[in-house]
Amino acid sequence: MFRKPLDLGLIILIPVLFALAPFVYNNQLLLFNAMVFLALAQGINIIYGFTGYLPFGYVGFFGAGAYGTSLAIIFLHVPALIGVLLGGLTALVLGLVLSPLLRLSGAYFAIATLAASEAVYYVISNPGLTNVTKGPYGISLDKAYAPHLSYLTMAVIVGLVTAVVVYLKRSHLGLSLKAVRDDPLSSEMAGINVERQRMVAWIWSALFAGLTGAVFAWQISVFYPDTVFDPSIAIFAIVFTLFGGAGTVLGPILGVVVLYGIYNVIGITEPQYFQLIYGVLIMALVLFLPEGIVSLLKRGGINVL
Amino acid sequence: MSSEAVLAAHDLGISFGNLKAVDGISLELKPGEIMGLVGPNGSGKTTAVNLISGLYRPDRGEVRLGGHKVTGLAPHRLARLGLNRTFQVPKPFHTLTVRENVELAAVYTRQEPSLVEKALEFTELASLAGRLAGSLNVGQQKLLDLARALATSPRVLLVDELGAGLGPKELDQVAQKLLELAQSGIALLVVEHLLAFLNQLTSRVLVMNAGTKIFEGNLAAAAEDPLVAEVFLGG
Repeated sequence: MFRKPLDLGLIILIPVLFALAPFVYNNQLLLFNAMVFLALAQGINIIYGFTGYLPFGYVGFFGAGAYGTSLAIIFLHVPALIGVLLGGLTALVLGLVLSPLLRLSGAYFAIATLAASEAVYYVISNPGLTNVTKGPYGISLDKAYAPHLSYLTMAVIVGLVTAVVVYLKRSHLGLSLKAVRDDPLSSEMAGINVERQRMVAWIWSALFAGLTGAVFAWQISVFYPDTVFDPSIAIFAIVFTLFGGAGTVLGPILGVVVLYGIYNVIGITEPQYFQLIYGVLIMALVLFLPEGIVSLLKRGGINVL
Repeated sequence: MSSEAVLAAHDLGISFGNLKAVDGISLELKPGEIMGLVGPNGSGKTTAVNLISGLYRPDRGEVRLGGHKVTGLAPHRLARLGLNRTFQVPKPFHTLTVRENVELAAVYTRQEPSLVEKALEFTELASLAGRLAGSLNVGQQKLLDLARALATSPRVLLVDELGAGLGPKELDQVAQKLLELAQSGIALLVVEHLLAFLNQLTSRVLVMNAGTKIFEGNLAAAAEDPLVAEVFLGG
């Protein structure tokens, strides 16, 4: 399915570049956050770019992963890497629980996922559950703190999610998801199990948000519920995906590099200008470039992966 | 039911609220046979096709395919078992190419890849195979719908108003194609308003009105039937 060497090159190149980047650029936290947004943007790409379902509350899986990992490390005393896998598993289970939401479509689905992520947030931050989740007082993983290993783990996850998107782009599975998005009835008559295919995309998408949240928790090691359930995390990732171009491998990568780059150049020193530019940019995109900046390349006759 | 029927529907019925959209329809098709399903607008023809093809689960009655009960199976299961259909309003995958549209149907019903090219050539879409399906005209989209169905290697094909919106020359071509399919052994149930078109295909019709069967038999005899005349001409 993979067209070597281009596909494999891309899948390996991105994490390797991130792994080497701290040697030439010393703001490791910024690089780490870029990887977090890249993984989330590609995770959103899996569900939105291929099936058309836009998960506004995608951060719910991120937070579930962060808490799944933390509680596994604190209560089960597992090594951090095992904890990360359990964090991914937590988000996967949450994805299964929320799978009936796939019966909704369009804006209803988007809003329902947002409500679901808020519900998970309020359960976890509930002071009555302090013995279990530490409630609103937050988590401390000081014993597991390992900035370099967690940074490298994040690079591996970026490579994995890129591989999944490349696979979708190249395989009949990805094509069938786009068919389901175009017309579910015809898809059924083509022998495609529509419910199952949607579920596959949804679960992959949830899993990667969970793994990303898990490594994020491990990296920062001290956090509160509203750190990892902040809806703007999902909104940022969605904007990166839309800006670059959903349904492609390169779109979300370009989106993160360009927009997160701009954010770090002007957003931190002069946040008010950043918000202005961001708002204008989003409006311009929706009006003039709904398929993202990669569609400019396509119009120029360049076939975008 | 006779043993050689490939499709047998018995006493199918479904209601939407108080409306009995289909109320006790039975029919049988042998391999290679063509049956016309006619009736005025709203008489339940498309609903009957939706019941047989698994889009709706019937409130009562059963559907047998090759002797096996398939009532209530999901459409993708029926497609894999050899029952397929086209849609009144064609529903191709707009963002995929013509070939990808047909290829997916062959892949997900586990057919030989060679069927893709055969279906494209049969429907004369081979020269458009690289085009996006959304860029085709309605006539071409209808043929693509047919090609998508053929790529699943159906034993039974339900054709829902393939003729509507086609010109006289295209109608003749499509009629020839459907006759060829029947000769190859596929059983066809053809929902149609255009009786002249249907006349080219078969003499056997089932006439529906208000969800029930009011006539079954010869097309010429149907025209003589007082009840059919009343329903069609408003008596």
